[in-house]
Amino acid sequence: MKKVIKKVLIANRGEIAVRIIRTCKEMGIRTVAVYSQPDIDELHVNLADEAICIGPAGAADSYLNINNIIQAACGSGCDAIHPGFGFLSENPDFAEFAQACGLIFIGPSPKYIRLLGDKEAARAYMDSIGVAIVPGSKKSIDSLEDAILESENIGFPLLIKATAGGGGKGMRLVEAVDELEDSFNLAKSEAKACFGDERVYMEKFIDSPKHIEVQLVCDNKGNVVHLFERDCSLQRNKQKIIEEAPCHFLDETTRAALIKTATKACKDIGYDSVGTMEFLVDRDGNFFFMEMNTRIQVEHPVSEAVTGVDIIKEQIRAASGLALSIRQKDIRRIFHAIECRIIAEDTENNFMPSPGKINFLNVPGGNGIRIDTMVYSGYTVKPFYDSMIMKLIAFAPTRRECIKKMRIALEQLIMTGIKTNIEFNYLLMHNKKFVSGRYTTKTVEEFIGELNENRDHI
Amino acid sequence: MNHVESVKQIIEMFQASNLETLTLEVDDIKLSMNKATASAASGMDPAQLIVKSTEPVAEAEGNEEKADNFEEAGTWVKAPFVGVFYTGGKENEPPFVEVGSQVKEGDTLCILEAMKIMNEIKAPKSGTVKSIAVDNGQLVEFGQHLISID
Repeated sequence: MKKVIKKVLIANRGEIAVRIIRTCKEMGIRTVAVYSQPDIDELHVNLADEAICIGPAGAADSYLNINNIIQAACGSGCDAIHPGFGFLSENPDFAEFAQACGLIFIGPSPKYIRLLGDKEAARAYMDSIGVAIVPGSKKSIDSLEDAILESENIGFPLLIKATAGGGGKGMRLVEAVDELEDSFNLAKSEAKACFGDERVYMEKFIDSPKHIEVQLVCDNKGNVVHLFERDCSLQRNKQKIIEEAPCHFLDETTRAALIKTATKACKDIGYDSVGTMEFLVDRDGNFFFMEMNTRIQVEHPVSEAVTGVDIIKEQIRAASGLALSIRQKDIRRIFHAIECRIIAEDTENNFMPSPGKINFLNVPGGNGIRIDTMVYSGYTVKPFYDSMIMKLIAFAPTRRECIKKMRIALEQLIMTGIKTNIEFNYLLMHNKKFVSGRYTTKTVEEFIGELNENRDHI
Repeated sequence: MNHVESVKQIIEMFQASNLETLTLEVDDIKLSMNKATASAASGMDPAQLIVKSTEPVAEAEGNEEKADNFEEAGTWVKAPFVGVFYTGGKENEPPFVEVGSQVKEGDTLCILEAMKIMNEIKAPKSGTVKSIAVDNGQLVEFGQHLISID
C-alpha cells in the first residue's frame, strides 16, 4: 500500500537531522524540525521548512517527549516521522503510536524493533534460524554439575555472567575446567551481592574480537540488498570512534559467508527497512551474531561512500511503500572509506565532554572528503546532548590513499574554543595496528595506555 | 532596553538635533558621531559607531522581537506542551476570556488540545487579561506565549 510522503517531521537533532533534511529537500519533501529551547539556534532548525519547540533542555522532556513530537507532526500536517538514531528510533511504542495516529514511521515495522531490541530474544531467534551466536548456556545454570556439562558444550575460555547483571559487572573469566568449581561458586555469591540475584549463565569468551557489521537495505516487498560490511573495532568503552569499509582483515570467503548470513537472516525475518547486523569475529575468522540495529546508524556514510547509494533516500522510498531503487547486482565497491567521529571532549582529561562556543572553524574538503556536521562558525556546543559534533569521511580507490587523505583532512580541520578528539584521531591514523588493519576492540584501550605512559613526550 | 535600541534612539536624536558632533560614553557603549555640514541637506549623515558590548549583538537581535513583544505585558501564560490552542470550550461557544476580562486565580483561560485530549489552561493569578498572542485553532509550540494577565 503506497502512501506518498510529502512532509516529514525529523524527530532528532544534530548532524543526523541535518543529513535527513538535506535528502528530504532533494526529494521535494517538506521538512519540520523539532527542537528543545536551548537548540533554537541549531542548524537543523534553520535548514528545515518549519520548526516547532517541543520542550526544555532535558532530552526526557523534549527529544524523548512522545506526545509533543506526535502532536507536532499531526498539527503541522506531516505524513511521516523520521526518528534518526538514538532518542526514539528504537522505541517500538513510539513507532506504533505514530502509526496509530496516521503517521508513517520511517523505519521497520514495530514488531521487528520489538523482536530485535530485546537482546536475549534476538539471540534466541537467530539461533533458531541457524545463525551462529556466541556459544552459551540457553538458561541460567543452577548446579555445578550443569556448569560442567555446559562447559563441555561451550569450550574454554568462557565467561560466567550474572543473569541480572550488566555494565560489564558480575563477569568471571574461566580459562580451564579445573578453575570452574571455584569460579562458579564465587560468581554466584558476587551476583547475589551486586544484583540481589544469584543466577548465572555461561558464554564463550572471545578474546579481542573484531566488531564487523553488515549494512542492510530492505523494503516491504521482500527485497533485501546489502551494502557490504564495515569494521567498527576502534572503540572506547563500547563507543565507536573510527569505522572503515571494507574490513582489511577479512578474506573473501569469510566476508562472503558473513554477508550471506546477514542477508539470509534478514529475508527469514521479513525485515522491511534499513538496518545493520553486528557480529563479533575472532582471530580465526569465526563470526558470531551480536545484535541487530533496526535504524539508520551513525556510520552509514561509510557504506554510502563505498557504494554510492543514498541510504536515507532508499529508506524514505521504502517507507512510502515503494520498492528499493537499487538491485544487488548493481551494487559494487567503488572506494575504500574511513570515518572519524569528531567529538567535543577533552581526551587528556578522562574524555570529559567539552561544550562551549566554537570561535574559529576551518573545515577540510577536496576530492574524496565528506563532512556531516551541524557546527558553523560561532556555533555553541550544548552540554545537554551527545558530544559528537561532526563526522569526517575520507574515501579513495585504495586503503592507503584513504588513510593519507584522512590524515591531511584532520590536519586541516581546526576548531578553537572547545576541546575535541581531532588530535586523538590523527594519532590513531598513524597507529601501527590501525595501519596494518589487524586492530581489535582492545586496540583503543591499549593505545590510550601508551598515550598516558608517554604523555610527557607528546 | 538592549544596546541596539539605545544606539538607534541616540542616532535619531542626534540626527534630528542641531549638534554637529557628539561623543558619548556610557556603561560599555562608546559612540562618536559627526555631521558633515555640506551633506546635511541631503539627509545623509555619516556616523561613526564604536559599539563595545558585552553581549553579542546577533544574539540580542535574535531575541529582540520576542522580548519587545512580551517584555512589559504582565505575567505570561506559556504553553506547557505542544498542542492546538482554542479560545473557547467547543465550536460556536464563546471564548473563555477576552482582552480586558477579569480573571481569578484558577479560572480557565483557554484550551490546549493534545493527543485528542482537551486540556484546560488555568490562570496562575488573579487580574485582567492584557493580551492574547495566538489565534483560535493555531498549533502552538512548547513555551509559546499564549495569554498575559496584569
